[in-house]
Amino acid sequence: MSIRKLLAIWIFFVSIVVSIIGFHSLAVQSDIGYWIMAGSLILISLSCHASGIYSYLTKKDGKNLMMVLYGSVILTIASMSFYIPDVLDLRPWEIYARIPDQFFFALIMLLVGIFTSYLSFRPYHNYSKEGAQSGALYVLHVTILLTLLPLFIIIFNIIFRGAGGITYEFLTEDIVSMGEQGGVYPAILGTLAMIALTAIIVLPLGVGTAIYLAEYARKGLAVRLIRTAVNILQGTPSIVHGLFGYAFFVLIVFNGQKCLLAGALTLAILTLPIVTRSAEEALNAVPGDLRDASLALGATKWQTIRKVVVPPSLPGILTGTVLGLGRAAGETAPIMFTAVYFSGAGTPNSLLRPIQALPYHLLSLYRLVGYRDVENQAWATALLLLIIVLGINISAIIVREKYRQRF
Amino acid sequence: MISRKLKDKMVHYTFFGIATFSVLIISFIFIFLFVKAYPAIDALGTGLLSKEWNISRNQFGILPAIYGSVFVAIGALIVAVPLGLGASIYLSEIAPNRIRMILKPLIELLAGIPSIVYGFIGAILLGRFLYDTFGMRGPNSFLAAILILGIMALPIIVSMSDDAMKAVPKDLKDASLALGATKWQTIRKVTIPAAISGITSAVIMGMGRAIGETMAVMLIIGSVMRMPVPFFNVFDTGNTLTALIAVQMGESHGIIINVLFAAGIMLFTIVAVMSIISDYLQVRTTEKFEGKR
Repeated sequence: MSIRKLLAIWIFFVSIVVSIIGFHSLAVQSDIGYWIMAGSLILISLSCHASGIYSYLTKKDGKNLMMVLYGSVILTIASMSFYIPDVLDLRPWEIYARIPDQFFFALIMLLVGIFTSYLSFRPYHNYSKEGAQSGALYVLHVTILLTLLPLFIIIFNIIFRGAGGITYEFLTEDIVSMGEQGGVYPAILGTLAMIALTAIIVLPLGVGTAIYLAEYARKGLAVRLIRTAVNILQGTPSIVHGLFGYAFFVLIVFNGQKCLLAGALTLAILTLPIVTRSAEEALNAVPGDLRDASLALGATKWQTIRKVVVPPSLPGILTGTVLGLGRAAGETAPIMFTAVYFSGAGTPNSLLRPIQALPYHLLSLYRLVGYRDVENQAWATALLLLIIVLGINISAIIVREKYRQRF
Repeated sequence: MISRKLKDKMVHYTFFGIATFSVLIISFIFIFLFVKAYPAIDALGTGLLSKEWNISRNQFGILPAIYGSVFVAIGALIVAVPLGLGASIYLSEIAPNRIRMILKPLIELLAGIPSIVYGFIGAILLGRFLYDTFGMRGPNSFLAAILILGIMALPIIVSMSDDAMKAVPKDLKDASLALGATKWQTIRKVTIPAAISGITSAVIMGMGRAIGETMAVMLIIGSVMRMPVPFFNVFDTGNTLTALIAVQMGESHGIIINVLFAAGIMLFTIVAVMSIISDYLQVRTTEKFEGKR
């Protein structure tokens, strides 16, 4: 292995370490101090200089000097950051915030570290197009890690802070003293009842729409209109569903009474486009030959759909429905004006009575944080909600992967 | 006995009837929002679009909320687009099949986390974290909302642009590789330009999600009905259309309720226009490639 490659590897690892230190101190708000930051930048800078000068001496090519130039830029950054004030107070500019120098130090280390490790692929591949490629691939790996990072932070925090609160009492009792004690039993039942009812309402509508779009629809104004409506419905904010559910179902249909059925109807509208789209996809995946064969045997179109097209697409339809219900189980905005109370509703026993539900329970507990001792209960509720929703999603994904590509 | 043919026709029309339900619902949503909003539009007129919100002086201008919605959505895109694009390029073009099969469901899980959980985490962890770091007036800020919305828009952007790049015919990529281009050059010069309308559509949908998101935002935005000063101040508190509706709906009566429905129409219209544009772009992508085959 040549010295050029060794130098490049050295730069890569030093910059990785520097960026990790920067990220860590950014995350835990620790102060790394000016001299550690400047020292690590000077180290990277010297390595860049060494790499550039060595390459230039062995092969007098202008682009080898790029690393020298970049090393000097880092050195400039290191010396300039000496002038960062201890606390950058933004109040003179009418912005109420102050940014401590440790934040800048950590940020500089993080960014310089990532950029230098990206750059180190160029000398390693002797400035060929492979160098540009490997550098780009490295950055893409960093982005996918950063994309998944929030998932792990959220799940890790909720499990560790919520697990202690899930007790037998929590799962089997109603709210006691504004949620400080007791549990979420009626809310669990309420959420389950609501999504079961939603499923009953949405399945025929969604699958029916999908069958029409996939099997009957020809090009035309009506079909265009239906498709556009499904797409708009899919993008409609959940709070708008909540407003509509309140204005139509609660005020007009149910005479101003919040109830389970109004919530389920609202959620059915919310999940309708999800069910429709995935069912249509599943129906479209059935090859046309099968339909033609059935029609050629003298079956009617409806017999063909019932006996040939729908059975193999059932797993796909179910997956889509279950994913939609997972979304419905976690929604708060559509049900807060249409179906739920924080306490007092009890276990669901009638379609026309209000219920309690987990997402709204979490919202209500959050609003009490600071006034009452409910934070642990809130974390436990969040964990329970996450288990239910992600459990639904995971089972749907597993079904889908299992039945994927049967044709 | 009805004939087989007639029965088939009847089935056809039944399904057509079911399918028109979506159109019916959309028109119902619009009509009922409008009916409930009309008293406010009638009484306030253009005063609805002013930036003065003062309940005791009967001023209900929702401009600060509109501005807040757009502000957080653009901010969320600045966070989510670079990350989401990188991640989707990685997923669709680079990741080996085995890793892709693990990562894609993980990203779907990120999309599956309920928004109230995002809001709770955002308020308890992120809000306090930003407060400790930057010492604002309180834990609520546009910055917290932007970061949380960025995270929430990520999965949509990733999975939709992943689909768009997967839809680019393999022939195009192979031709580029056969000419001696590296994988990265192919991605940059062939795949991304070919998939650009699908990617744009993904970004618009991500922005739609950010504008329409309610629970996460209402817990961390502060719900203060005024413009941030200066207008780009991410450390300030403010309001969005969604948070305005969700917070005020429970505790108001009289004309404020009608104003909230007017805000709902505003929101619905913005997001509907965005989904139509996004949908048009997506249809154009598929037509483009199916025409080439």
